[in-house]
Amino acid sequence: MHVIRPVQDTDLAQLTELGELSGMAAGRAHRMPVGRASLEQAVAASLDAFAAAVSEPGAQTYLFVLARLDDGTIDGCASLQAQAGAGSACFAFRRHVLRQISADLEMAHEMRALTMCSELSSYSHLVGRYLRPGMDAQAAAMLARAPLLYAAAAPQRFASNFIASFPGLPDSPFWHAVGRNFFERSLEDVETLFGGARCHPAVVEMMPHFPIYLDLMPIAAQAAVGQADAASRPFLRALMAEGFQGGGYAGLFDGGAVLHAASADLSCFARKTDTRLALARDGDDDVAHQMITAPHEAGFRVVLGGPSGQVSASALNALGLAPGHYAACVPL
Amino acid sequence: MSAPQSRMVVRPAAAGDLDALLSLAREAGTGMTTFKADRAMLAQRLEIACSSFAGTAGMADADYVFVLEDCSNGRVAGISAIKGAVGLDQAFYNYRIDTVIHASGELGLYTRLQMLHLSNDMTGATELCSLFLHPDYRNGNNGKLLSKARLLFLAQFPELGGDRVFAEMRGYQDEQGRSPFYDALGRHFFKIDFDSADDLTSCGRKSFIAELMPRQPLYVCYLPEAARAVIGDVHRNTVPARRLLEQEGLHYAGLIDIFDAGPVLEARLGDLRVMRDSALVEVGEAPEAVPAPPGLVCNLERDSFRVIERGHAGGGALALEPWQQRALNAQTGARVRHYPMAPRQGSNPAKANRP
Repeated sequence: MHVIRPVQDTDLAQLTELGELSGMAAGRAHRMPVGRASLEQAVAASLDAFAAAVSEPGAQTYLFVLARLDDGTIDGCASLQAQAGAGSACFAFRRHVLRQISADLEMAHEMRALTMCSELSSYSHLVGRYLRPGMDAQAAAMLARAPLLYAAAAPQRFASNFIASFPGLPDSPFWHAVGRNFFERSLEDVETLFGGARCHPAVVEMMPHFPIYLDLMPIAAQAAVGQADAASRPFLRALMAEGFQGGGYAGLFDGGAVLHAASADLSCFARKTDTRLALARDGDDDVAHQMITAPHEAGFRVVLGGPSGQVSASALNALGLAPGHYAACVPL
Repeated sequence: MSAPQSRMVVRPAAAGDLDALLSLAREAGTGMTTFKADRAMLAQRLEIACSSFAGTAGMADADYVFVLEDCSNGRVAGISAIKGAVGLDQAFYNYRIDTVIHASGELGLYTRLQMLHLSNDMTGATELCSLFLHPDYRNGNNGKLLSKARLLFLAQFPELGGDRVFAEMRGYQDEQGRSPFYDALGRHFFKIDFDSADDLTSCGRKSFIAELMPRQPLYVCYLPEAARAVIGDVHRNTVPARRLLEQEGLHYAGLIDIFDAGPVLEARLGDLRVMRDSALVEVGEAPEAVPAPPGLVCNLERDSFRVIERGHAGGGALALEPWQQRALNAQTGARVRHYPMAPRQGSNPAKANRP
């Protein structure tokens, strides 16, 4: 069983190991920070963000870890950016349809299209999830969704709209059909150039300036739009259950899934109830039904518990609460 | 089969040519956009042609239809035409190929790409079209006579043409008659097969093009290799026609047909070879028969315009045999225009005019 909590600087060694375990190169979009230098920077930035008295979203990135209740082992991490554009712009493809009609021929067509846009820049952005292999679906759900409980506890730090980005298919056919023609390089090389960012002005200079007719692309490229890589799919499922929608946007380079939602659509905002906590008995159903969080911004923690607020002793301890106290609960 | 010394003349089409043109159109089959075997359409076209030659047609309608007639038997052996100005009532569309550069100096990135933009650039330009020669007459210089007669007409009556002249060449099709360019692009938007789309435009039903075709500029790199490869390529049967027009001073400048990506060959009117190389000459007695290089001769009448094949060795009067004088309606002392069939040595307008 796990707790979700903000990162601490004592987590650095474990996160470095976790980064190595992920097998990812440093500076890849939508992935956890990798390498000692990046992680030091990310941890420092996160500590500053949590400590700052923020009255409106800016260039803050909040880093959360998933840690075991028993021995504190870190099994995963995830980030929540207050603004996807982080002070400049966040570019993605907006997915839409172009419809044309010929009255003369009594014929119409609808062509699926992609247009580069920066309207997501002001959205808050869930990104950079990594979960140690072998963890179960509940751990994935917790990692993906629990940061939103922090946003619900401290709404002034975040936008009222959220997106969640995912890495797309490996060796994405979408990259080969679109982006590769404009950069004349591998995606790896381009990611290295941009350091994993999507807000560099060169993105606008290099990428297509006009809507793309998706239906003209090779089938494999079409199918890659809105996909997530295998490791990300449990997160994608969890965030759909949370209330996110797909089909609206896609990643600029690999066509990866970009989910979006207004906070009013999300369980962590709209289906939160205050529940009285009780100590779980041995033999209680092990399957957790809810995310449970202490109802204030400072000392943010999230654990899993039963349907009527039953929590284990170690979970209670992690929350800093006792049986009989009230906590905010959200069904998983 | 025509005898090698057939007496051929190009003249304006007349109402009486309807039946002959109908059977010629049937012979042409589905290959020609601007010459369909439809009696009513052809009758109407001939009416417009007559008023065009008479000088009473409006600018948007002017359609100079010529026929190639075998004087020995009166048979109509071919058709060619000039549309005075296209696109003035219904928009005339092409794709234009543009080069664009995507670059970031800061990151050292530089990529060169091609784009297709929808264009109405040929609005008001003069179109050479509807060229068809019956298989029985495909010998000697009949094809050249039929095609180049139009250029002589423009040389004699430049005020009837726009400042630009063009011809759309049929694009590449594979052995099964498929157009890889249409299959990759047009088919997605028009939802009908290539022949049907072609048919509709030839019947003048062009509004569907504007209504259905992609409005967004397209990067050529989005198209499959098979489609990209044929952009600006002609149908194998059209290769001779392309060569002929390039010799006359027309060239491909990046405009293509929106359906099959066939090249548009274009030229400024003044850059046509016929403007430089044709000259007025007097009909008269010529000295001893001198071997003359092949050439064309036309009279100077608009509504009774006539063109025959006749060489002129140069300098002095041009001698015409009696049948030629009758064909041209030009006797001794009359002025006619002569045009050598082949370019002068060292002056290939196609090379001179290439940007």
